[in-house]
Amino acid sequence: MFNSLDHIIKGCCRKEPVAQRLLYEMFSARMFGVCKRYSGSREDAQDILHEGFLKIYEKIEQFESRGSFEGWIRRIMVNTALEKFRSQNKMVNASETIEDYDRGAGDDLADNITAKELLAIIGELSPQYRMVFNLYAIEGYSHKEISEMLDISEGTSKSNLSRARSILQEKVKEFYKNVERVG
Amino acid sequence: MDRLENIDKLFRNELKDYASIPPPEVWGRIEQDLTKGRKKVLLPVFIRIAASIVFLAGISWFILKYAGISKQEHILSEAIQKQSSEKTVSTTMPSAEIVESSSSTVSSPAVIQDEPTIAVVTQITEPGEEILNSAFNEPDYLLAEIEALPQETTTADNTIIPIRTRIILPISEIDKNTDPIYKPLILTTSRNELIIQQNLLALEDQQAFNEKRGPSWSIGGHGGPQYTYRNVNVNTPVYPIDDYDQFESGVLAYSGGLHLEVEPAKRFSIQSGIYYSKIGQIKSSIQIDDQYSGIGTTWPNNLYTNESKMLPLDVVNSTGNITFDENLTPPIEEDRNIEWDEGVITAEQYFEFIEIPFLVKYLIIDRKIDVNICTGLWADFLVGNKATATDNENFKAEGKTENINSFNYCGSFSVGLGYSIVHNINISFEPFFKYYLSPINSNPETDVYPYSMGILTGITYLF
Repeated sequence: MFNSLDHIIKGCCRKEPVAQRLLYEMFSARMFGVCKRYSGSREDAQDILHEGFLKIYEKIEQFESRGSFEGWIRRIMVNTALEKFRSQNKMVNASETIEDYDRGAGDDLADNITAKELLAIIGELSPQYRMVFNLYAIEGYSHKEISEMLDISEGTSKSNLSRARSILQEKVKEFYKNVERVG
Repeated sequence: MDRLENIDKLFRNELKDYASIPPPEVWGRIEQDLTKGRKKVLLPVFIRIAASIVFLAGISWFILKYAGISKQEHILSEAIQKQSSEKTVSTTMPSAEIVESSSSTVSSPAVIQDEPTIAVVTQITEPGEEILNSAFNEPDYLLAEIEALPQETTTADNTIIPIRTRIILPISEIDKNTDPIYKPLILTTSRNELIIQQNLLALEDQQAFNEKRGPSWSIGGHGGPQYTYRNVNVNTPVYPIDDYDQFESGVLAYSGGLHLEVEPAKRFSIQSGIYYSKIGQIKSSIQIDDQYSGIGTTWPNNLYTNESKMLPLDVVNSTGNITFDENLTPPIEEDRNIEWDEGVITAEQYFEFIEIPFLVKYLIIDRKIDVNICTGLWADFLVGNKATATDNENFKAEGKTENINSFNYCGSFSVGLGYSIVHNINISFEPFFKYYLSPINSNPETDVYPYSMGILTGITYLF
């Protein structure tokens, strides 16, 4: 009887189909959310989710039960997303000067924009900006870690983040203008 | 800089835990890939169980046989082979646990069981989260929806809403009117968030329930070979300890039984049951001197002046005198010397006990292969006391050892390995050491404390 997450994990270690399905049911929605943040299309997100779960089932015996299981599978999903984008996109080793793109939009950010709308905005970023912004602003990685993960310099990571922030601010402002216009 | 952090914060707050239900075909692809890998290695469960038991029993026997710890006859293990009923693992979800429906009506979570389980109620006809979000724009409606489960839900335009949800509930304990599980106020305008929140709440409830639901139980049986011998304290030095040790040796015997185990706290369990254990020792090079008994080393010639003389065979060893039911008529040569060579008679003495253990077990490693340590006390009730003397040719006499206590107690320590063949059946492999804490004899000359070491293999069913 799979009456706890521990039992489900153990069942997955034994390659039991029921446990694998239950694990998927338990985490697929949250992991699909992660995948969508990192991908430019719904199809890519589905591919990442697919590949990520296969890795989870394959490596689940390596999970140390002391840590957070959700954190562990989230890292696998993020790494899968990174691998996919490494293969699809050559990261631009930009050496742009870090500019302050802050134009004050942050002050005006209302709190009634929905997650879905923000996801659509983040999806409009170029892959490399989206990667860096996700890793830094949402996952909490440092520029040094991001530079190692994406094989770029720290300066490029900082530059990409700054550009991503600027673009996002513009798009958020634009969103509200449209809302006001419609309203 | 603060403003830059605001944009980070906005996205982080909204998207860090963002969830979205993937379309069903993703699982279909995953399942297809998993099935490909599985078909290569999947064997019927009963074959895996049988093979595991045979393998473990074989290993146990092999280790003890070739460890050189016994010079005497080996008694093969009688591993308890309580064959569990054959069970097939389906590659699809069992209907008892997962209810799927492709209809457009929200049906009840039909899984009503006596104990908590995960019930999966799948009811989705369209992929993705784009379905009729507008129907859930009213928080009160959502709340009603939660409490109304499992009732049908329709939108404003009378479309029946397909809801995909998974609930994990201790169903039998739910009082739908008062149970807090049905009281969470999930105020959201997103159908997906509602579903996810339901899942998270249900999972938390399940975990909380698991903590308070009480201990989990298991039963099983195991058995295996054991090497047994004894430690002797000499109180009255009739014979020095070296004389005992010179002619006595341990034997290979066996033990096994049924156990009942309860796990009152995570990783800790208490175990009891009923066991059978056979222990003993061997007295070799038995001599017959002019006192007809003893542990002397010389064989007297010309002992008998009368060929018809019957000698009572009465063997002294560390545990006590062994008395035999029949007298000994040694073969006499024409010159009236005894034909036997020195030390031709060997006596094996065995004691059989019914044991009631009280053991505590701690799970050190809870992984694919569990590792646990187990220690505790055993109450041993004597049910068998047999001795056999033989010259390995024609002579054989049966008797018993005198002054053996009918009740004894001992302590044990073991390290067990457990492996789950299917999700509620484990097999185990458990080397152990057991030492009697009370002397099994009541002779004034010696106190004998037997010990045994062996390997138990077995099978456990988890409720």
